Amino acid sequence: MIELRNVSFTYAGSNRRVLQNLSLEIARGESVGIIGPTGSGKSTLCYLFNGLIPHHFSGKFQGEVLVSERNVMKETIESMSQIVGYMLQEPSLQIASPFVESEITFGMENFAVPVDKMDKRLNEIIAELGLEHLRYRATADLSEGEKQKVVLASILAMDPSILVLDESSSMVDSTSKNDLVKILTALKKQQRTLIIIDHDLDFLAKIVDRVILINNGSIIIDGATDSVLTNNRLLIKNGLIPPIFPDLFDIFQEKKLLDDPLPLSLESARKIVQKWLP
Amino acid sequence: MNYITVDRVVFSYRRNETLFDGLSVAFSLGEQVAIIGRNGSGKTTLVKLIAGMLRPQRGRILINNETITRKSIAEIATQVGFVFQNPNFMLFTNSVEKELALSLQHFKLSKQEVKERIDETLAFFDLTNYRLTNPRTLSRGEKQKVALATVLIQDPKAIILDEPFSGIDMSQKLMILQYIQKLKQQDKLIILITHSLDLLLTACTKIVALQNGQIAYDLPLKEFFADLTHLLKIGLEPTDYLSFITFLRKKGLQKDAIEKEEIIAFLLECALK
Ligand SMILES: Nc1ncnc2c1ncn2[C@@H]1O[C@H](COP(=O)(O)OP(=O)(O)OP(=O)(O)O)[C@@H](O)[C@H]1O
Ligand SMILES: Nc1ncnc2c1ncn2[C@@H]1O[C@H](COP(=O)(O)OP(=O)(O)OP(=O)(O)O)[C@@H](O)[C@H]1O
Ligand SMILES: [Mg+2]
Ligand SMILES: [Mg+2]
Repeated sequence: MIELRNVSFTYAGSNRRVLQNLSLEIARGESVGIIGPTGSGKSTLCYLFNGLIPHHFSGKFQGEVLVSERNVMKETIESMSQIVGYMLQEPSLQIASPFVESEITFGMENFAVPVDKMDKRLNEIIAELGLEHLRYRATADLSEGEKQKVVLASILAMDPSILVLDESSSMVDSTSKNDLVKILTALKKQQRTLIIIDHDLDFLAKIVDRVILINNGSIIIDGATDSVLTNNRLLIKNGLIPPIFPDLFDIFQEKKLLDDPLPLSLESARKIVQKWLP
Repeated sequence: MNYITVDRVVFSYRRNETLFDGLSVAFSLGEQVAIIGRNGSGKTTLVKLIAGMLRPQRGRILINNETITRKSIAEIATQVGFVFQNPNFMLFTNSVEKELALSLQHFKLSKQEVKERIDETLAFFDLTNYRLTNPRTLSRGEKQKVALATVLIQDPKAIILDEPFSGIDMSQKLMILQYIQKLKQQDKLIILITHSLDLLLTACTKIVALQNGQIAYDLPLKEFFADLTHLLKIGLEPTDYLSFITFLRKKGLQKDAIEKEEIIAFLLECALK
């Protein structure tokens, strides 16, 4: 469904190759987390999925990008946005409408969704994200976290078959973050393709099945979430801190006090303690 | 002694909808305070009022015992350093180096001193390679680091950080926290606004919790987290780390143990039993 073949990219005006000969495949319905230190190329990589590179960011591009059998080079950003819902890391740049309600329906209107269907979807999404109190507000007057949620709502409203979220949870409070986990998990069950960049590895661990670690524009590892996010050595070597439970229990594995694999979820961490103290 | 005093402040953005209806809170030098609350609870608004970017409709704000009513934003900024939630609003020039030099402008330093401070700061933030780069072409996390650096380079007596970690990877977040800890020894005031509850556990000693434009709690950090109903009452769900601690408390963990090292020590006891 998404295929990158030997992709390299250098931003115009820079002499550093930000993506270095990347190849990867993401199948329909997969949920993939993209992680890596600050400046490693995560956002740049995702710009390929809806044609922001090369259509918006100019530079030196090599390789081939196929999304839903389309060659992204030959498409426009508009045509790609029919398939790919994309949340930029700077959501304020993405707000197109003066009011929250019209912002959420903006995309649907562009895709000529019938009015009754649009209203239904609007109400659903507002309820799911808990945005009732913001419905009639001006988008310019929102708090940063509120903005992030409204942009997310406008993207989810379009029911994209591929969803790319770049740090969509960085400004939302802990309660909304849990809501987000529920919403994304539900989308996963509907076989949507999810590509999520997030520095919060604990958040990612709850959603995605596969994790790709990027550093200096290259793929360091690409594997199952359980194995990548508990690979403390590799994460640290690449400038990252392991998620909370692998980090807490690391020393127990080292001291051979742990028969089980390193826990990644709250549930598995509890189970280990229960075994120690029944 | 209070360094920043917010005294019965009334503020609303819109008519008929008061956000702060007589809000009072005070911050002293030597404190590390976290302000927490749901999205839209008024954290950034409070910071903008202290920075003089918004003015109260009633009540007053004092910095170092002087009212800020007639002070300009620039004057206030010499007494309190602000890092705002959106780094794009803080970046003005066409190179990282100029950005830092600009923030040292009013310090009357020699050319050599300016250069030294910039070198040091770039090295600390791992930005040396970006010295001549246009901040607009940086990644989000790099921008956030530059925004932070422009304030921290001034070595302010008091500093207010509004979600300073967003977009920055965890290991660099911890590095910035260490920097904050370093400030701690110099009797400064640090006010940190963040949704990363796990991080503030190590960085702060006091919690101010905002809800519906009111101060719901103003408590020492350990007291606040000794009881998770405090968090729930302001509408915030605990992180997995906090839920885990609550679970361990039922197994005998001390109520005031919240730092990673304390938790590991307790787990070791459990494992060896
Ligand atoms: N428009 C641009 N022009 C030139 N260089 C750029 C541009 N955008 C990003 N870069 C550089 O490319 C590298 C990768 O940036 P990218 O935004 O992909 O990183 P990232 O992994 O998303 O980082 P973050 O975690 O901070 O969001 C960075 O070193 C950055 O400075
Ligand atoms: N310029 C504005 N005009 C009108 N209302 C505003 C404006 N800025 C913020 N608000 C509203 O005031 C309330 C408080 O906003 P504020 O930005 O202080 O929240 P916050 O606690 O910082 O939230 P977040 O965690 O999302 O950053 C919110 O309901 C917000 O929508
Ligand atoms: Mg990025
Ligand atoms: Mg805010």
